[in-house]
Amino acid sequence: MDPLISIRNLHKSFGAKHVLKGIDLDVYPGQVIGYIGPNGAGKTTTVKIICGLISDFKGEIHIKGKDIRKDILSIKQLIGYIPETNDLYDVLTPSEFLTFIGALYKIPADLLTARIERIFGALGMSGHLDQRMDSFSKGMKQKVLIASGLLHNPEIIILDEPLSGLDANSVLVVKDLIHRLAKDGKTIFYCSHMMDVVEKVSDKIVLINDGVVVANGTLSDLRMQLGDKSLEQMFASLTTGHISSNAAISIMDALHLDSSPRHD
Amino acid sequence: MLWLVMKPERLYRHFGVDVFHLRTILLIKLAMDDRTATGINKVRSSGGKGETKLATAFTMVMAFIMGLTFLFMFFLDDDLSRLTLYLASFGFMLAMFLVTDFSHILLDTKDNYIILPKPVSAETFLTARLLHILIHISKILVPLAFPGFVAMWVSRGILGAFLFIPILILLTVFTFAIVNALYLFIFRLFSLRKIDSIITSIQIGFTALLYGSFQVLPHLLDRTVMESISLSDVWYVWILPSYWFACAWKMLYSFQFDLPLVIGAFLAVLLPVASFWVMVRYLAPSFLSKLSMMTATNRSEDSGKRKIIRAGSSGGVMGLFGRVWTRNNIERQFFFFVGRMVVRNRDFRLKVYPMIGYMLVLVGFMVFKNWDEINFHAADIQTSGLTMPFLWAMYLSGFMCITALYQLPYTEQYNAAWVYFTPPIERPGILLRASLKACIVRFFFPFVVVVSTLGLFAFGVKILPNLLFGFGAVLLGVILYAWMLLDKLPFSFPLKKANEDNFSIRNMFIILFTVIFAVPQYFLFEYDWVLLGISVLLIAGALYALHIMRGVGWNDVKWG
Repeated sequence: MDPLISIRNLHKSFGAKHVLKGIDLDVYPGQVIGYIGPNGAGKTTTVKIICGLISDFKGEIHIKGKDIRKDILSIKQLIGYIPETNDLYDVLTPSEFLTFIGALYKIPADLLTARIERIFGALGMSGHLDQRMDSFSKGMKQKVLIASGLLHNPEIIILDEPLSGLDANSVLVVKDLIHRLAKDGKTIFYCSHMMDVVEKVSDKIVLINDGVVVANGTLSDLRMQLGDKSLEQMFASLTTGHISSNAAISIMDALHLDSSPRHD
Repeated sequence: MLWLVMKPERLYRHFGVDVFHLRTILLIKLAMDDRTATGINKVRSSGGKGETKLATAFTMVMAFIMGLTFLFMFFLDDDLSRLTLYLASFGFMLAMFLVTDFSHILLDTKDNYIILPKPVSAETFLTARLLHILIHISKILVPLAFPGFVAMWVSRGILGAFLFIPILILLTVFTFAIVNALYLFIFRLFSLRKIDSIITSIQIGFTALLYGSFQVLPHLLDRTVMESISLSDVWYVWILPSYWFACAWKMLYSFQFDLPLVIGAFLAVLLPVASFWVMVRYLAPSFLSKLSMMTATNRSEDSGKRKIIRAGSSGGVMGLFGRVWTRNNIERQFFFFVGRMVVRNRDFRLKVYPMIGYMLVLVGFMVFKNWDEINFHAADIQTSGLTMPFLWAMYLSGFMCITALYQLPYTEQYNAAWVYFTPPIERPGILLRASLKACIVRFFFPFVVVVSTLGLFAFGVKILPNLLFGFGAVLLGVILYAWMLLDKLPFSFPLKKANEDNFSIRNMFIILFTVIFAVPQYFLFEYDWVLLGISVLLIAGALYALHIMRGVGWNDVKWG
């Protein structure tokens, strides 16, 4: 089977800062990829390149056999992007925002309205469709972004920290949704820090650190290589140097320096 | 300043205040003030977090300049009239500074999270808050009052000047209580988001007023008229609290105890004391409880008060133009999007709306200045004395539209611009064209309607060739500007970039365009057929430029 997303020797620099240092990755149809790594590892940069937000990179990316440099428009039609909560014009109402996004994907008006209402109803947000989003909580904004990424029924869904700010019930809905989307043949690219969720939803885990892939495989593959550890422990062992492994001990030492408070 | 307020250490200790805590809290709050863009600073500031420096110094300079502009009232001969006007302006300006510059102290709910959980006594906390407010007010008060104080010294000697100080303090207490009451009133009536938008609107109005008064006030200095003004002759001057404060000063300075002066002086003392008492006794506790309620209330629980906005197609004028003036659904939705954002986005409103207010003041002032020479019943515009204000009004509409277009890409929410890049849009030209059309409908057409209606009403159809020429030229100018210089998508760049970008090129463009069109129009005013002929060319050119703008490609636009 040909990979749906194929990334070869991907490099990207911002000025003198070399963020991606040769990423190689294949993603197959229907897979759920957990794309994890510490802050600044290059996760968001990779995602932005795949979504067409960054166009000046080195290397090759093919999506459904199409070169991202030559055929970006038809590739964009395949992808649904769900960014972080703050990336939203919150003076609009969800209805205005989603109608606008839908128009950019040229979704027929009737279908668009029906989809917005259905998705919003399922997310428990029907009553908020015509209210300005600047008074929304983080979780409510995240639900609007989830709806915006699914509106055009894309083949590939890229989620960047999709659970941030969601309450427990909504987390369950999203996790269930990820399973159902995967069952429906969608390919999911899931970026997150929440190891327990990544561990549960992903078929394959890709760990990047400092711009290179340091681990790539199913959870059981990784356990074979690194021993019977939790994903959290694997993450810690592969990304040392980011924070000292003895960080907790150092903090305790700092607390024991002098415990008497200052008196004036 | 901190050193000064920390002087009565013993007194603070006596009241159970922890002086070390007090100093620490004040120190950090003052440092934060200096880095927070508030009030007029927000209009001026370059935006992005951590960018605001020397906010305090800027506010002080602005207050000092405002204080200078009040000095023209010292041309009044009559002491009572002069002081009444001076104190009224002073009180008004102080209230404006307080409303716009002060909300972040009054509405600072972070204290509840950061300071209250720490072992800081209630006395220390309250004293810190009061001292912080005191320091903040004096940063405005001292530079605002200083020019008046010096002028008083020069005109009425050292006694006059020093008697002025307690009067100003009383007035400040009174103003402070009024502003507090105003805040409480707003709190009672509106939701948090609405409050934010009300304060933004006051900020916009205040900034336009500041710009406008710098422009207008110096021209009002007609000494002969000013010297003859005497307010004490009219009974309704008693409505002005500033008159009472003026009475108090006059009574002390001249040592006269006439009944009106004594009554005025009595009120001047009673009012601030009473209002202060009401503020401390009733307003402050309810204010604080309201504030803590606001902190405790989860935003999502506030949903009952949220306004419902009907979505889908936009109604009104925007809806009409959206339907008839856009080619396809993408352009139409983008047109609605920009049309909504320019009236709702706070960053955009704070930058653009004061400029619009300022330009309106400018046109109004031009009419007002030549009021005596204007003949509204003249047969044509040339003999009416309205030629210049008419030309200004037409061409300023173009400056306004260009200002709006210039400011369009900048917002603090620039990260949300991913929405333009993920959907399959072939050329962003269509998005730029929709933005341009939305700005034209929002910022240019209203002026076309108002100026044309007034012009046609006053001078009939004879004015039509001039209207067509002027607005045709402006339309061409605006579209050419967008085609040549608008290389960023709306709301896609951080605010701080606005100052770095091609500001001077924009000004050059405006000047050049005015020279090429407004000046010839002035000389061609009577040649109707020439004007008509050129108008047709101008409008055709504008429409053609709008058409080719569609072809702008992804390589021609930038993204923050």
